[in-house]
This record gives sequence, C-alpha cells and structure tokens, in this order.
Amino acid sequence: MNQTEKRYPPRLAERFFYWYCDDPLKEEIAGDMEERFWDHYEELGASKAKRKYWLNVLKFIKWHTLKRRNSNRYTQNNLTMVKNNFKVAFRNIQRHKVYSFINISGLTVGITSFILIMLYVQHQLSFDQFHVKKDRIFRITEGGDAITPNIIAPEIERSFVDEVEHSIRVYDQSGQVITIDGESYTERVYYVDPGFFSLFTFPLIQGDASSALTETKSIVLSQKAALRYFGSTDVLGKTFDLEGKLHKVTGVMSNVPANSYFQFDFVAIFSDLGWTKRETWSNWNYHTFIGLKKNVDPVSFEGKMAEKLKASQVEWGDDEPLDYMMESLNDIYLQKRFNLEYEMEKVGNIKYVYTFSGVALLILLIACINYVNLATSKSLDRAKEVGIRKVVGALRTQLIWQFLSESFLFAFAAAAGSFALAYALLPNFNELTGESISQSQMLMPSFIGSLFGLVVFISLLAGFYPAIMLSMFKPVVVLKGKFSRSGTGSKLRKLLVVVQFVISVFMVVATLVVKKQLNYINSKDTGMNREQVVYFYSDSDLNKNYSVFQNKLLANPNIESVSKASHIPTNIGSAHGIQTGETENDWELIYFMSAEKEFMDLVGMEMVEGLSLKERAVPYAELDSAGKNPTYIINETTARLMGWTPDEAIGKSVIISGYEGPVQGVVKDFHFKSLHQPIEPFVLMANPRRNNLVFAKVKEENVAETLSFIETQIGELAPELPFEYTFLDDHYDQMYTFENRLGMVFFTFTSIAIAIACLGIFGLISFMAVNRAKEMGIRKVLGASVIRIVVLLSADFMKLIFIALVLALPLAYHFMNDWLTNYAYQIDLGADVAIIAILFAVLITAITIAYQAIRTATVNPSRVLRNE
Amino acid sequence: MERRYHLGEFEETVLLVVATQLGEAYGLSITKVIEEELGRSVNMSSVHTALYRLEEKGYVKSDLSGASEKRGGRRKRIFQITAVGKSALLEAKSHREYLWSKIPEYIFEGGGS
Repeated sequence: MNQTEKRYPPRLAERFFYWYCDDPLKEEIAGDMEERFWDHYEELGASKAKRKYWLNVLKFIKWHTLKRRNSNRYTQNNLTMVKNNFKVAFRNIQRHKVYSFINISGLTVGITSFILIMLYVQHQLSFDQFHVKKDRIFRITEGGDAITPNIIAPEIERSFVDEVEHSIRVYDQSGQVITIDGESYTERVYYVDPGFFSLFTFPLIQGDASSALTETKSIVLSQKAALRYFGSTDVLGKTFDLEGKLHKVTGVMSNVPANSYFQFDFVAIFSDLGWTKRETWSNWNYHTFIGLKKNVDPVSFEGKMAEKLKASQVEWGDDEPLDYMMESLNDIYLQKRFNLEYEMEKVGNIKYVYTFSGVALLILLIACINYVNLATSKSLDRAKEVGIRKVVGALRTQLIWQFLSESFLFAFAAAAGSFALAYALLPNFNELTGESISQSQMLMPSFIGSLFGLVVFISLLAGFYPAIMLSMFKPVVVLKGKFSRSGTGSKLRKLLVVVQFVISVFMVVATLVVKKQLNYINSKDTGMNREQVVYFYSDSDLNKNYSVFQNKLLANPNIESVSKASHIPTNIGSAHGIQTGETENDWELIYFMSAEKEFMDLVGMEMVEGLSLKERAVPYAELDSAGKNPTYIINETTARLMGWTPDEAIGKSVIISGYEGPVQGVVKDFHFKSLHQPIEPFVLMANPRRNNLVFAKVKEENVAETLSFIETQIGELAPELPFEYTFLDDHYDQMYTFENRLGMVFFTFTSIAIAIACLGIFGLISFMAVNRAKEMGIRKVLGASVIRIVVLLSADFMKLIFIALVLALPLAYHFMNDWLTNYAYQIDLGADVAIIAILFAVLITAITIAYQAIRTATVNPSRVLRNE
Repeated sequence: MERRYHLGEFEETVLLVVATQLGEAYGLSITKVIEEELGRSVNMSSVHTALYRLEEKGYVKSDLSGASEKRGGRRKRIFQITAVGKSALLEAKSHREYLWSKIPEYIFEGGGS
C-alpha cells in the first residue's frame, strides 16, 4: 500500500469510467476496482496492474452500468409530450370527422395511386436487368428497323474475334406446328444461334447451357411448356416433331420472367431453318445480338463495326452501304435510344415511364395540397389552443412538433390504408396495364421501407407549412379575441387551389386528346375491309390439297371467299429494294406481300388503274424461265415515289430486288402497318410458295358453326395441322392494345386526381361556409337573395378556376401537340377539347360547392346570428 | 401457487458465496473467493452483474459501508442474503439432492470421476 509513491490507478481509465458509469454505481465499482488494482500492484507490479485496471474498466461497460443520458425526469416528460401530441391529434381527428375523413381519404387515394404507379414504373425499369451480361449485350440495328440481314452476325463474328464474345441471330416464327404423341399444336418458336444461352441469362434447370443448342435438331423448352405438353419437367432426351422433323429436347429452362423483352417457350437452332443458310445482305428478317468482351468500349466499337460492315457491303457489290448501329439491351424494351420497327416482342416506352411517374407525383401533390389547405383553413379552430399552449410555456419548436406529429398520424393512417388498398387492387391494376406485377413485390422489406420513407416525406411536405403557420400565432392577439379570419395563408391557399386545378385541367385535356386520337385510329379507314375475315396458317399437306380445300369451303353458303397470302395485310414487315434511279445504287425500301387471285376482293383492296391479281398473276419465281414478266402491282405511294401518276405507271418498268418487270396495276393506298407510320411504298406480287396463310371471309351468321366446319375440313385434308384462327380485326385491334391501355390508365388516374382535387375543394368550401356564416346571415337580413349568396360564395372559387384554365389550357395544348407528333396520322386538337375541359372544370366545381353554398344561403339567419 | 425460484448456475455460486461471507460480502471479496478457493477464473464485472440481478430478484439486499484507504476512501456495497434468497438456495439444493438420490449407485462405481 504505497500510495505515497504516487502509484495510482491510471487516471485516464478512471476518468473514462466516471464518464460512462451511472451515478449511483460509481462509488462501489470504482472502489472495488481500485482495491483490486492495489492487490495486483503488489502481486504483479505496476504495469500489469495498470493494464488489468484498464481491462476492468472496459469490462464494466454493461447495460446496467451505463449512464442514463438524460435525467430521468426530462426523458419521461419528452416521451409524455410525444404521447400527448399523438393523443391530441387523435382527438382532433375524432372531433372533426368530416374534415378528417376528407383529409385521410384524399391522402389514401393519392398514396394508393402513387404506390400502384410506382410499382408499374419499377416493373418497367426492371426489364432485362436480370441478364448478367446486360451491359455488354447489344442489338445491331439499321435506320428505323430492328431487323438486319442474316449475314451480319457471322460477319461480325469473323471480323472481331478479339472484341466479340457471341454474336447471335434470333428469329421468331409463330405458327410452328409441333406434334407430340400424335396431337398437333401451333407454337411460337425462337430460332437462335448456339451461344444464346451463354449470352442471355435464361438458366437451364436441365441440360447444359453451352452445349444445349449445338447439335442439329435440338430444342430447348421452358418449364411451363414441358409441363403443358409432357406433364413433367423431366423431359431431357424426349423427342417430338417440329414442322414435321423430329427434334430432341436438350434442355429445360426456367420460365422466362415477366420482365423480359424476350418471351418464348421454345428455342430451336437457327441453322435448322433451311432457307436461312445462305448468308446474304438482302435477307432482312433477323434480330442480331452481340455480346462484347469485357473492357470493350461500345462507343468506339460501334464506329469500327459500322466501318467494317460498310466495307463488306461494298465488297459484296453495294455502292451505298447502310449504316449499322448498336442498341444496348438495356435500351430495347423502353426504346430509350431508338424507336424501331419490327420489334419481335412487346415493347414499352421510356416516355410513358416518365409520364406515369409525373402523373403519380402530381396526384400525390394534389393530395398534399388538400392537406395543407384544409389544415390552414382550420387555423381559427386551432388558434386558441396554440395561444393557451404558448401562455402555459410551450416553445415554438414544441408546437411545430405537435402539428408535425398530427400530419404524421394522418399520413401514416392514409399509408396503412393505401397499402391494403393497393395490395387488393393490384390484380385489377395489372389487368388495366396488361403487366403482371406480383403482389409479393409489395411485401419486400425494401418496399415497406420506402413506403415508410414516403410517409415521412408526405408528413413533412404536407405538414410543414401548417405547422409553421399555426405555431406562429401570437398568444396576446389570439386570446384577446381580436384574432379573426385573418389573411394569413389565404393567399397561399388560393395559389394552391389554382395549382391543383392547373394539374387537373391539364390531365383532363390530356385524357381527352388521347381518347380522341385513339378513337380516330380505331375508326380510321385503312383502305381495307377487316371485318369477318379469319385467317390461319397452312402446312404442306394443306398446300398440296389447297384447291380441294378451297372448293369444299366455298360450298358452304356461310363462307363468301377463300384465298391465300404471305402476310397479314395489316402488319406487313418484309421489304425488298426498288431501284429509283439510273443505277443499282439508288434504291428505296419497298414492302411486299404475295397473294392469290381472290385476295384483293376478299380484303377489299381497290385498284386505281391496271390489272388486278385476279386478272393477271404471274409468279415472281418463274420470271427467269420464259421471259415472262412477273406481276407487280404497286400502290399509289410507289407511283408517287417514281414520279408517275397511276395512269402513267402502267407498263413502266420497275426493278425490285434486281428483277425487272412492268407495272401491271396500281392499287389504292391502304395502311399495311400501324398508324404511327405513314404509308410507304408497297408492291403486291404473286409468289405461291410464300403463301402460307389462308384467309376466309365468313358471313356474320353462324360464325361458330362456320369455324367448326373449317376445322373439320382441315382435319380431313391436313390431319397434322391444328386449326388456330385469328380474326383480322382482332389482330388490328391488338396492334393498338398498348395505346388503348394507356388511354384507360390515363383516364383512371385523371379521374382519381380530379376526385381528390374536388374533395379538397369540398373541404375548403365547407370551412369557408362556416367562417362566413355570420356574414351571410347579415347579408340575408339586409335583403340579399339566396342566389346572390350562392354566387358570392362560389365567385371566389370560380375566379380561381378561371385563372387555372388560362394557365393550364395553353400548356396542355402545347404538350399534347407534341405527343401527337408520334402519329403519322393525327387528329386536329381543335377547340372542342378546350371547350369540354372548361365546361367540365366549371361544372365539377359548381357541383362540388353547390351543396355547401346552397345550405349556407338557405339557412335561417337567426340561427347563425343569435349568439352574437 | 408455489413460488418458483430461478437461479442460474453462476448466480447460485455467487449467492452461496454471499451466504458464506456473513456481512462481509462485496463485489471484490466474492470474486476473490471464486477465483482463489474455487479455482475458477472470473471477471469482477460478471460478479457485479450477477449481484445486480440477484438484488433485482430480491435474493440479496445491500448497503454501502466500510470505506478504506485502499479503496481511495470509497465505500463498499455489502451484500446480505435475504429470506427469499435462502429459500431459493434451499430449493436448488433439494432439487439436486433429489436428483442425486435417484442416480443408481453403479453409475459412479469403478471410479469415473
């Protein structure tokens, strides 16, 4: 015990201990530790004892020894105030039931819409993000087309061994007949080059990704397809017929996710398609994908690749080679870089993703504005409370917290309701948008976390201004009774109402324009008669027996006409080149289809000049034999392109894909592609070998019987061919599903936005009516009529609506004009849209405020004035 | 309803030491007994935590007294076993004895330590 030697326990450790240890425990523990220190000091020496002392100090850091940071009283008070804030807020909600209902339901609808739209947006943005190599995968494109010649992929593979890992052609072919255990079905099949499964991340649950598509006549199917056709996913090595040839299953892949651009169940080998074997620059039908090696810069590679491809084209004999570009896989679905023709699958649009996000934010904004407006208009009610609280000693920050916790409570209640609502409505929403977003998305922690973040965000956005404003009242003024409906906040309230209405009117105009344009498209005369035309694929058996088949069908009085063609006339995607100048190098794309002689009448194509197919049909392929000229029936647009009138065009020689022949006739322009595009050059030819689609025009009566009659006939003549038909007008409508869906989605959310805005106005007018009840009472006593008072009360709002209309209409017209440029055939915006929007806005405001205005105006003045 | 006593193994040891050191038991003294007499390495802070819990459960009571120079003039917290603490110990003991009596003798025959 040598304290005289100044050997003390380490002071720093002691101070640290005193810092963290709770007061009541300090003495005993420090005492024990010091005693221990001297024991150690004697036994082990100073340094070891010091070290042990340090260790003890650290080991004593336990939950029960830690200092309670704040003094007990203070902590509890704070907690009590938080509890009390919520209690007061809750009581307020209960006391003002209508107000609370309006507020919470507005927020709920707003947040629900927001959640749903955000799920949609998230889904859209997640497309193709599951591919491991997504950033290195590119599609080769040319001009406005997603398809490229079949030589591109092998050419790139040969030329850029160092940069390119894979180069894959994908060709999707629908109507492929598969025969399993004697039963035939038609399916869509992807024909791809062997590296497909190495490049894209579609995991195989059976078979080997790198070798599954190497052997000829191999086929990989999805789990779904395996289950459907074999009842098991254990189908490796099983065989079935595809287009009459025996194929062996070499792999089973897990089902393609919903957020994949590619959607397929069957994959076969590209080179098994016999007619694709010859590599040419003129066989345009294929999607070419390349996978770059790591660390290859896509931008510089694109330039290099384009140069090389140009050189190859020139070598091949093309003096004006085309410019090929690369489109990242990330950009394909949302069409971020290009908006291309001949996508093989459904695509979205990044613009719509932006638009929808915007709509979601606007709806949320409208809902928040409601909250701000209602909360501040209630200020008179709360002023006395604020006054008393301040007198009793409340700090301003405490009041701000109080009002913020109130808005938090509102936002939280609304968000909880929204979550349940959105969860329940998701299937309906999926139906509306045509997407398949899973409900399990909503249960992920990240989603719930961001929802909670949203609650905080909303309670700040909506609660901040009311909290500042309400906590600002001076107790003296308020409690003296001098405080009345002062101008505080009323300007802002007006501004906010205008903002709400600008948004609403904008959305109304947008909806009207979209609807008008869609109606226009749906009813536009495309120059063809699509009604009651049914089509289906043919096979080699049916082609052999076609004339028998045709006669048998025509014998049925319900079938008016039967013909064959190579393409669906509303969606023609194959093109040749037509020479437009002196040399081979001046040429334009010309779309073509081939048909049998009855076809033009069947779909109602009209001749302008010359001979129709019925009158003359010389097959394209026979032209070499006897110097016969093949049938070329061009459309009016082609004639214009060549600088001829239809009249002049007849007999003029044209060179299409190198084959020269005179123009036999001119067909009236018709829309053979979506109305997004203008009509382009087109030629109708006769090429019986390509006519693989049978078209039949049926009478409206007994359609079901007629169809089953056709099926029986097919069953007799071509037993392997399944009868899977489509109506031409259905097919046409399908081309616009995306637009039609969009219209519906827009319509729904616009209605919601307007409903929320009206809810807010209803709340506002209710408070205004209460606040101005006495004024109106006096006016009535002095002889004002009911109508006068209604007008007076509405005038304020009508003024705001007017301002909103003046602001919103030009804005909306500007934006919608922009949108319409997407269409080659567009409506005139016209004044009618504006007139409808104005009428609508005024009417809906009038209806919203009518109830309160009339009630205030008709109430007996003595009732509101007797307390004075 | 019969009262159930929850006594962890270490708590029981500490409580037993408190009972042996009539009126002399405090954190360090208990630590020393466990370390030196029972030959078991133990931390002062764990002993402290155990005492703290025992006091919460009402098995021991404590007072501050006995400052010394060696302690820098600080008092000790002297722990004493309470009646409840005694019952808890008795119960633990009787449970053990009961179970010991149930063990067939041959188990420990042949010198399995």
